[in-house]
Amino acid sequence: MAENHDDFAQQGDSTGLTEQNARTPDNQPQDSRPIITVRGMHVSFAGQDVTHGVGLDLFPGRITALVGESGSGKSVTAMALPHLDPSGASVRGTALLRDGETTIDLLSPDAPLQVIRGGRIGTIFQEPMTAFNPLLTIGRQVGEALDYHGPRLSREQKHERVLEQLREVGLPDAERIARSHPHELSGGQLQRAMIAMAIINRPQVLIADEPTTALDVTTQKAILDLLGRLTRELDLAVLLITHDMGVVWQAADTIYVMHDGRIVEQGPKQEIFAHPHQQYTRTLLEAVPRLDVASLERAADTNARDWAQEKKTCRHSSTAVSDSTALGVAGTAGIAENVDTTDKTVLSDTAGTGTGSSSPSTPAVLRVEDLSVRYGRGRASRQAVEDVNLTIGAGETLALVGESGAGKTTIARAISGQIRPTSGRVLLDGVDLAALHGRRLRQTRSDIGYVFQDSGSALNPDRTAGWSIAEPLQVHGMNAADRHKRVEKLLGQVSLPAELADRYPFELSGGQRQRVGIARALALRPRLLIADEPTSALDVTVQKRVLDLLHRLRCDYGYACLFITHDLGIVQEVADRVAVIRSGRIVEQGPMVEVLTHPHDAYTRTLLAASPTIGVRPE
Amino acid sequence: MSQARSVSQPLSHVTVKSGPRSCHPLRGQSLKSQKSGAPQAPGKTRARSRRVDPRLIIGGILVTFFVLLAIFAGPLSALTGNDPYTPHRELLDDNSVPTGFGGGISAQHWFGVTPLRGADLFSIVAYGAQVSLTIGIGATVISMLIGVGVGLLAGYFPGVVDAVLSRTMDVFFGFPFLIFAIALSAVVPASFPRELLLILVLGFFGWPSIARLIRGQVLSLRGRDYTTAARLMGASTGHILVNELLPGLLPLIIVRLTLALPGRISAEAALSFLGVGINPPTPSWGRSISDAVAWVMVDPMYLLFPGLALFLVTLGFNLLGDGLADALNPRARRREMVEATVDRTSGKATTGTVGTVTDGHNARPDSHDVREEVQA
Repeated sequence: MAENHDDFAQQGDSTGLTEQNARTPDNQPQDSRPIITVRGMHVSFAGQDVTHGVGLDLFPGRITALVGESGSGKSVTAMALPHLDPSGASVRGTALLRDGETTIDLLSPDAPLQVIRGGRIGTIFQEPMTAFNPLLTIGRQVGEALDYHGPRLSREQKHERVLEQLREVGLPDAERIARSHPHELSGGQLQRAMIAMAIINRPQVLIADEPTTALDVTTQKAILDLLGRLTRELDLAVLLITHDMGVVWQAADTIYVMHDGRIVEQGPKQEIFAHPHQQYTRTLLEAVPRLDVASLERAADTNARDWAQEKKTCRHSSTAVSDSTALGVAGTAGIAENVDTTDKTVLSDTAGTGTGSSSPSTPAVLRVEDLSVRYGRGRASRQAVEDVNLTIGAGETLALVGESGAGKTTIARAISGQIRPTSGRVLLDGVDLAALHGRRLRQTRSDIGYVFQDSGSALNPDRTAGWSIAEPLQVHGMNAADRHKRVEKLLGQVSLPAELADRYPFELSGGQRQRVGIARALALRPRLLIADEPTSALDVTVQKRVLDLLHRLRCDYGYACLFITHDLGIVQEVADRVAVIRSGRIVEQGPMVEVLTHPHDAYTRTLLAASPTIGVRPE
Repeated sequence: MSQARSVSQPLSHVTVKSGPRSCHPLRGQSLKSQKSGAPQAPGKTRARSRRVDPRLIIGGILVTFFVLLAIFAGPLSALTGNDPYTPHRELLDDNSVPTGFGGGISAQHWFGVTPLRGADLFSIVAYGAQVSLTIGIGATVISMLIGVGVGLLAGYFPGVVDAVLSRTMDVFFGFPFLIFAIALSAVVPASFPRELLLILVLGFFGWPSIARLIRGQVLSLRGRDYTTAARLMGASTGHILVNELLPGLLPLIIVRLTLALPGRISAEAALSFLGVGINPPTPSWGRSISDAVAWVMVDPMYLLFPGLALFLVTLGFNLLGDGLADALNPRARRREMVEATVDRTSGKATTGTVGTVTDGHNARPDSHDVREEVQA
């Protein structure tokens, strides 16, 4: 039900999109004076500046993107405008809001906050699910904003106004939405409702703090289109805070790039994307995993296999490195020897695939046959995954792509034996995991490495990084001295300094934590590595490094890899083959180049269309 | 908060300003330590060596003092030639109230004497420490062991095991403890040592609340990815319980332990008051306090000394446990980081850690309260 409405709304917006696209860059809005002028803004905590003299101009009818990575200060900067900065922050500088013929200094301590908030500046947040009070209806919460601004309205007038506003943000079924509680709506619908709440008093400025980060790619596109339409129709000045260059490309007119509390570069979108001046901007742009179907098509025309092969082939040097590491550990503990021998067969496999073409004779490491999973029992049960068939060979990466709730993680959990399939089989090297028990099962599980999405939760906060990496070795009986050596080696392989072994997870950055998680997953030299959105919580430059690392390690270790993601750009970067999943069913499966260039299924085409494709490369 | 602290601490070998750390905790630390290249985790050791937690010092002194008092109750009382039994009726007036300052405080009787019998109050408090601490610690340890064990199992094995254990807890919760205790004291032969009986009774009725607490925490910890990771690497259940879950429970257990201890001492007092605890004339703080209540208007010192002893030992254990929980737990320092989280998105990066702190929160509000009081 909810899905349908979302779809409908999307259609409504896509017409809006074509209009927006029709607008040429020089067809800028009439009013060229900025509505908000920020100059020399310093935000400081405990006497320490975190932003240094930030200057911004927001224009009516334009979406201005403030781009930066975690900790760059983009959110504190934006949130200081309506005085929503975190407690303990002190703000210096000026931010003038043009209000008719007068101006208001937003940063002055006696700024009329109740007028500014909601009345002049509307704000929407990252998590639509948590931004609403779960106990009140959407209609009541949207209408609440009317109580503090404008003339007093009767109940009926207010209700009418709310419905009107909900329709305007692309929720045609406004009566039902207004009656609903937050848990009854989808993320996209809630984000629309939040936008309705933010603009119901017709503010001049809308601050959108990562408005689509928590949403699926198709929903993201719909929300961005909606923002674009509202910007134009209401002459809104939108400040879009995001870390995602794809979002910037899709939505923004003007860009400010922020780094370590400073604006390092600013300019029109086309300009920044095509001719970035600053090294940082360049790094940022280069790190974005690009979905570039055109280049794939060109390549496919000439010789797809060669092209893909060239990209995926592991250099011989790296194989040699791994060989030496294998020798280094070999002959220490009995278990290590066992693992190493299997590892060497894997290496020879890789060599085979590396030199020859991707031959179908590669033995399948993982074979999933007619896998179905049902959650719950009886009437309340829910089919999560249905008749899924997958095969991954040694050294091959299969990307499993789909939106949230499609069943990606369920498949991963079934393969790794965390849940039992309702029907079907999972064969790892021909062995059915479900038929194993006790010691044999635990032994076989060591052939599967698992990298989690949330690196914060994946490591025990009470244990050092070194302990966590060594844990699988300890479980399988390696002695302390050998463990120490192996941990050191693993840290080197994931490009972390050895002294990091003594750190606790909270002393590590997100990227470092994820590397530790990868090192742990590789400690037992798995045959299969399951990576469940390993980079979705990371900054884009960090993501790039982690993806590169995974690629290099695959060459070294020769594991088969099930890579779960929602980002087609990442798919293009890492995958040999792709399986697209929707509502628990695989709708399309095939070689990466083929699926991305000639998608057969309508859903794959929808995904491709919704994915941000940055058309310009920095020169 | 961090500023106040940096002022109060001697800046001996610490060259790092505390300012930037509170602003940019992750970045600051990792950069620093990479530069210094110290072999040990520099952030951690430096942070710890900066100062010893005053709670640990004060708590340690208090607890040590009372343990020593209990151990050397005999010799200490003998210094003034006293014991808790000999009456000194010459120090009482016609109404059996001690004469002289503060209930008869003198060089001979440091805490004065009790009304009615005129026994030496210091000896009573010292010997009472033996009884009260033995019962308190013994009962707490027993209920801790059972509670943690049952809680771990109930939390980790959902389904039948959890159902059986949880219903057992419910039965214990609903059990008329007092009636049972009274009945038991009538049934158990007088030759059975009372202290041991009290330890067993209090211990066996104390575990369900602990088990329930532990179960809740285990339920939340077992859902974390690192527990899943351990299962996936083929770890046995024992390994997971001991290595993954127990460290996360430790702060909870310690705080709970220090809170339970005074509760047990009070429970012993309550039972003794009802006449089913320690038999007179064996001194115990609980019985002294309950006796003293009747005399509080005419001889307040009789209540004050054993009451003060109970208060101080409770405070000591609380401070010690609280400091210990933080010292053992690398998470403790994160609270400061969380408060100073700068960017919304950098907040996202630390969500996991924030979650771990707040999850433990409901179980450890006391620890934070005590901390704030001490620092104020």
